Amino acid sequence: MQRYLLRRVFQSLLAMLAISVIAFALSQLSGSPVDSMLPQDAGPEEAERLTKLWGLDRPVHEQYFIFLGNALQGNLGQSIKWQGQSAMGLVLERLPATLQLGGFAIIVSTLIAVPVGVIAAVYKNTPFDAFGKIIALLGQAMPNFWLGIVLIWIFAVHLKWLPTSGRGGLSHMILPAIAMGWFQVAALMRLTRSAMLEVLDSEYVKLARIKGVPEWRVVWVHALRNAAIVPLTYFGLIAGSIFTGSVVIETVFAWPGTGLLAIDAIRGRDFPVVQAVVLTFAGVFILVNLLVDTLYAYLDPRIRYK
Amino acid sequence: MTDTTQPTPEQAVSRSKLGVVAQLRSLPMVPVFILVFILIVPALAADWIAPHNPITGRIPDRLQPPVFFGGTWEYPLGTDRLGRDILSRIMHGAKVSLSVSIVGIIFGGVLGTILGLIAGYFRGWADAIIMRLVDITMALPSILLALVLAVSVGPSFQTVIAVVVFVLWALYARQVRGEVLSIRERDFVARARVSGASHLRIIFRHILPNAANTIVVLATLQVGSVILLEAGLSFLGVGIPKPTPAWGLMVADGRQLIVSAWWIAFFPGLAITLTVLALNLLGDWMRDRLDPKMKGL
Amino acid sequence: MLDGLSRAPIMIALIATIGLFTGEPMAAERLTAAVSKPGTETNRFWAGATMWHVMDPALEGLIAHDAVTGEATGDGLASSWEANDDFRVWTFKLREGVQFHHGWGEMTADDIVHSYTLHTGEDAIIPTVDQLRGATAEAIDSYTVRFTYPEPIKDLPFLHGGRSVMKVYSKAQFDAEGLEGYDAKFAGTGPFEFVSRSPGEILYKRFDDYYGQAADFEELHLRFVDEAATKLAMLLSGEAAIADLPRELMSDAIGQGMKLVQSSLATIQNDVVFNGLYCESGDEACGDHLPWHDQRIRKAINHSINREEMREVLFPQGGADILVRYAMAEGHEGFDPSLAGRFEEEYGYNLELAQQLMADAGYPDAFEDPTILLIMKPESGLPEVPVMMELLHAYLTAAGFQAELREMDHATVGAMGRGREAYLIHPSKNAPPRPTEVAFRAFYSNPGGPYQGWENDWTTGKIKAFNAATDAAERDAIAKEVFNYLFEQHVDIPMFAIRAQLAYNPDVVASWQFPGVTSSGYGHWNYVKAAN
Repeated sequence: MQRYLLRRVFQSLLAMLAISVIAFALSQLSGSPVDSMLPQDAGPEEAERLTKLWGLDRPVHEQYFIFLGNALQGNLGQSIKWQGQSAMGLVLERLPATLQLGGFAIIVSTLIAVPVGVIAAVYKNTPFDAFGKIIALLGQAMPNFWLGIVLIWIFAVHLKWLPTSGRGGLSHMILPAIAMGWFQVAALMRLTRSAMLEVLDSEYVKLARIKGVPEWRVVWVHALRNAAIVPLTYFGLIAGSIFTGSVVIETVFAWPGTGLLAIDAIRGRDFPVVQAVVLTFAGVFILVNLLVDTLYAYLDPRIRYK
Repeated sequence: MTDTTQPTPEQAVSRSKLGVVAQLRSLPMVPVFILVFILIVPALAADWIAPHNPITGRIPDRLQPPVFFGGTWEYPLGTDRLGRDILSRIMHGAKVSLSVSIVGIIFGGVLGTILGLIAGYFRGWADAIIMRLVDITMALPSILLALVLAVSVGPSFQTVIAVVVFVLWALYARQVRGEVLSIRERDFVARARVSGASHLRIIFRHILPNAANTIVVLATLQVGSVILLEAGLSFLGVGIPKPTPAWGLMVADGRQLIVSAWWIAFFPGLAITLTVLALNLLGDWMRDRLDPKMKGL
Repeated sequence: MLDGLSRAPIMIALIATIGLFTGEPMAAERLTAAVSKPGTETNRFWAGATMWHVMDPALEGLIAHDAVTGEATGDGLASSWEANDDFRVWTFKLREGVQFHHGWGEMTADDIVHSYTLHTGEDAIIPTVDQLRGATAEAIDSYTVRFTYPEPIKDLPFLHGGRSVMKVYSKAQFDAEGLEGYDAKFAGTGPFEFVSRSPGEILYKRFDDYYGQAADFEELHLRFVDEAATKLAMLLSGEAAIADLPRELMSDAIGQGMKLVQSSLATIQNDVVFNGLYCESGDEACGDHLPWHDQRIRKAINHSINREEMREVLFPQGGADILVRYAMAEGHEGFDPSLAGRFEEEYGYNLELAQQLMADAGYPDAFEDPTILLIMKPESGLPEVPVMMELLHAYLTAAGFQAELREMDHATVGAMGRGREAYLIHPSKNAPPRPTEVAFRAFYSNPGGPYQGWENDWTTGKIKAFNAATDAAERDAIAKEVFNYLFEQHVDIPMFAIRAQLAYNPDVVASWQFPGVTSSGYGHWNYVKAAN
């Protein structure tokens, strides 16, 4: 067990190191922040002065090792675009907003997908099944920014039920969470449906029926409880897509999270912040997967020796 | 992923070969119909059937509504800000959407499949390296890569393809590797190995054909997500450059006029939705026929 | 592949436990405006980009402007100013009794000197900062401050007024708290004082000790929203009472009962630049391979464009005039009203003439690469640029040019310009319209560094003579000569003089008045009058 753990931790660290190189290279690739910060009429002297001030005149490898050395101490440098703030501070300030929205999006998609999946399984190959499938697939068939804008117009402007944008109470989260979460519904619903089909067919459920348990209880309690494990496994994969989705959805809903920060940082070529965002996104993803793998290995001994 | 319920590979291959006619007859007609008329025919024949030029419009005819909303048959789906015919742009857009999908999926799919085959077949350090690369790729938000690429070299058809490939290869590599892991344990692979077949021969004669179904199903399902990815990139201003008619770009471009000229974004959006829906239904159908164990994706 | 049976609970626990659901009370006297995202969210004005419009409520420059005429007035922090004969020494008299926010005391000359130091520091990236540098600033007495420059700088009032590159911060606060104090809660002198900011928004409240026109609203809440459809939705749903919508959405807002307010003067002069013509003799960077190196092609491109039609497409609610580029603005040095009369003949839509000129120049065969490269470069405050460039592309294609559209950001074009390799045609804007000297420095002359591409011996010589001249009549004559020459050389594609426009909800806001001569385009937030 320890050996397996050690190996996974080592692999994760290696991955983070590789990602640090990529993050660094990506930010270098995007060009100099001096160009994006300077106004149109600034001359070469101003550009030179800032290049020096921000340490961009040093050789690339030297810049990387400085960056790596600082990063190991948890310091990703000062933001260039947001003068006076640390890159990591900016990310951490906005991360809760993104995680909050992402978490809520997962809850919303679960709330839609699981009942639809169960109904689709119980009424397999009926219009219910087909209808459920279409509802689920619709989320995967619309550009999410378009869905977001349409939702704003229907629910905020015409019906005035919900606020248009920004971060605030629970009501502020509903529209962006639907726009973000609907995409996941199809996959989640499919998993639920197929898991339910399998479970409904099992001896265990047959036994429950024979014992005279009411059908709704058989389906929604006995079967679902056993089938739920399968779709739950899908959540680990969602972590990545939440960040990807956040970039677009946060723009539409003016949601002040890391997705919005990432766009601004890349457009502003704010190296430290771009690096901090990429490392944070990747770090969260890898950490979650490491935790999950560890726990999984703990629960299922076969894994360790594979 | 368990593989207890699947047919033996010989069965699977023979069934799909023998039953082509029967298979085709059970094709879900609605999705196929949609695909043919929205995606394939326009993509192939846009130059001949589109009523107007998709790039240059007539400015005096700008922002005409669709035909049953006060417009004329001259522009059945209305016109955009520059007086370009939406219908013609959608037809030409099919070509763009289809070519982005096909090129992206071919490159991403081939790369991912090869790496997946190597990882699954040889195991060992090759597997370890490739799978770590997969992990790293999945941990990096693809959209940020797209933004950086666009900022550094300017958005273009090539950058869009690059992002598509980046997103897809890891998916394929994972899926194919899983498939190969189970196939290589089968009797016929062991028999081939005993008879002294080379690794290449085993991979291409025995393993790849049996993994082909998975690859095809995955590709069908991915066309939809590539079209959506293109739309997302256009929204962020890093997609296919103007004035090329691309569906995602058209939706992104018209999204702000949702009140006064809703048709600019609505019709290309509808084309995307119908196409992706149809592809998914078709993909589901293919999965049920070809690869019933691939329930997950 | 399903190697994460237990990921779900962890993910959910990790994600869902974070985040508090906090409701935000709606103050009755609060004015909320949905405005474009500033280039930078920081309280350090000198180190940020494109943030005038969100800092204007609290920070002031030295010189104020009349809300209607846009004239520089003595109603601001400086009550009067004067220069010596050669425009090198400038003396500003300050208003007495101006209070800083948050009780940081009275503003004096020391605060001006301190602010000047901040704005010319190492980390300063404000426009024309190189023009501010090099001076010595000294406090003569508590209410007199003097700047001494090594060279004449005739347009210093513009830099401190319309351009408003220097904002006045409190020295007392800096001495007590340092920059961290500014980051937490900076003190300015404007009609609103800073309360707080969080990502995507900033909250101000009325400053009751303001020396000028008091604001009607108790609080001013600025929300940064880039998505135009969302901004319109905020306005229509009552979440915002003011929104700086793109002009093509104005009709939608007005159709739904909103009203439009616009600056009394044009705030943006927009043109499209023929870049890459660094053609002083001996300069190897000269783009003499470019089709637009040929004056006939430049003229032909100008004649291919139907500006009237473009204006209808881009500015359906008006507020834009076709720009006669080299007449400059009335009151500026070198203003030549006669150019307007020749505009139609030299620049007007005339496809036949355009094609004649192209044939004369031998287009396309005479050119190694006949591609006309049009760059779509986003310009803040001008969301019309993409459609404008698409239109341009359409006109040029129709005329027979091989035009290509390409997207590039401001930074890429800027870097190429500084590297003298911007062989492109790209949009540009002046906000606010620059006085002659500043315009020369920015656009045409080698001495100040031309970053927009037009250079030759004649122009450089003339502009040097202009800069050296201190006699008003002489300067005016040289400038006029230069503008006539540039006009006849067709060194750019003049587009429009555009007023700033915003939409507002008449249930909340009764009226607003701002001149549009400052860099923010709109401002004068204390002139927003509440309805009822």
